[in-house]
Amino acid sequence: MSFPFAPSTPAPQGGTTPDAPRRIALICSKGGLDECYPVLIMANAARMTGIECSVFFTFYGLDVVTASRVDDLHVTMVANPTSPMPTMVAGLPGMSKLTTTFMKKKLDELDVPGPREMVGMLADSGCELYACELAMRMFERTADDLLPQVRDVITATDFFEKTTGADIIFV
Amino acid sequence: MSDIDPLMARLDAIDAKLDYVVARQRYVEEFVRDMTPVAREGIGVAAAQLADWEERGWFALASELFVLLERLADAYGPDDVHELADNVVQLVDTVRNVAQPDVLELANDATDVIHHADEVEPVGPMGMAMATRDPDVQHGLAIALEVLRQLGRARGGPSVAVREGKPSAAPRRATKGSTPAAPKAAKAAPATGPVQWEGRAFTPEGFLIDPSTWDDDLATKMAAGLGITLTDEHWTVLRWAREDCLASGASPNVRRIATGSGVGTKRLYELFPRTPGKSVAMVAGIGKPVGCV
Repeated sequence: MSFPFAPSTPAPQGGTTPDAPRRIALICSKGGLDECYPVLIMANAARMTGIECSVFFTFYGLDVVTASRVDDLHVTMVANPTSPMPTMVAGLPGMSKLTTTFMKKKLDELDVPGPREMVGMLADSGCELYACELAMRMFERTADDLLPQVRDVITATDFFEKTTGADIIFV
Repeated sequence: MSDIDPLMARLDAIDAKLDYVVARQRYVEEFVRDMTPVAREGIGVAAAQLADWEERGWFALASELFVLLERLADAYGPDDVHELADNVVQLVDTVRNVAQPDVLELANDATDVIHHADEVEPVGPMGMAMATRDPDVQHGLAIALEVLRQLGRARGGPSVAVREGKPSAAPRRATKGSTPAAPKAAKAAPATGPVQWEGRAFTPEGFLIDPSTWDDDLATKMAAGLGITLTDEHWTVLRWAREDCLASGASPNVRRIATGSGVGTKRLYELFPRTPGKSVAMVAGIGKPVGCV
């Protein structure tokens, strides 16, 4: 007698066949601490739910997979309409550092790992991580500058070809 | 002699009555004599008055009023008049309010302005903005806004207080009463109770409800149902997750299992494919993990 309750299999989406697992493709275009977490957490949650997931890091999002910068991502309250801090005050020197420290402390309290560990977790869970070829050239970076978890440096066209049938989510 | 006495007494009585009648006759004659010139004068005045009224068109007006009343009677029944009577008090109130001296003065001033309309200069948007600095204009604007507000309330929107017993209020109240009932019924529908399997109670999703009813045999059967053949490595993860859950009171998430049991994220996804967090909790007989990391 088999176990009657298999973990709920997410319904297939897009142009995939009914048997194919659900797929999503996230595009990470921003490198702020607060801007990269949604991508990393959503990708991780997708993997935990059995959804196949690919992430494309482009423009400032490239910082999230750049070894020298991933631990130095910042958050700023400038021009953030949801922030209680007035923009004039948020623009003062040192404010970005202060808010970053505050947010990192909060995330630590919630047991949310840092971006570097999140990227490692994603790669281990089978999430495919790609860096944007054009952004690499623009920021004058080479494959050696990137975290080892990045699978490949590809163009946007390549990414869309690799993620055929996936739901595209731009962040 | 004795027969004559009553007769005499009666004659006396008749005589007295006769005197009275004569006196009255005299009074009447005197009255007529006195009143005749006065009455003559009165009739003259009355005739003159009637002629005057006729000249001024009172009678023509009265006859026209009769025609008007006839028409009103044709068009309106007693019920209409009765209904009108209810509003008469309000009507009179309105008239009295309008007839207040200050209101009339205001109306006079307003017509004055209209009479001198050619003296004021045309005003553009800038001039309008400048004019709002005048305290009189400011007060006027405030009053105008208040009047607008009253007009807006008169449209019968949601801010209008619904009067008791009005037929128009009945359907509105009925819909108010019926809307909260609908979601309740919809909410009750998807509720499903625990599912029995292998003599134990499970949630509809497949999580063991009472962790103490778990044993190795059940875990093997559940894993087989998920397509997993349990190895020593699996058992290490399962036992660690169980212990952690019983110690902390919450099912561990993927990251906690991966680091706590020492197998690592990558291996965990290989041991329990697709949904490691849920699968581990399921086979280990603990609750569904919460959290998204």
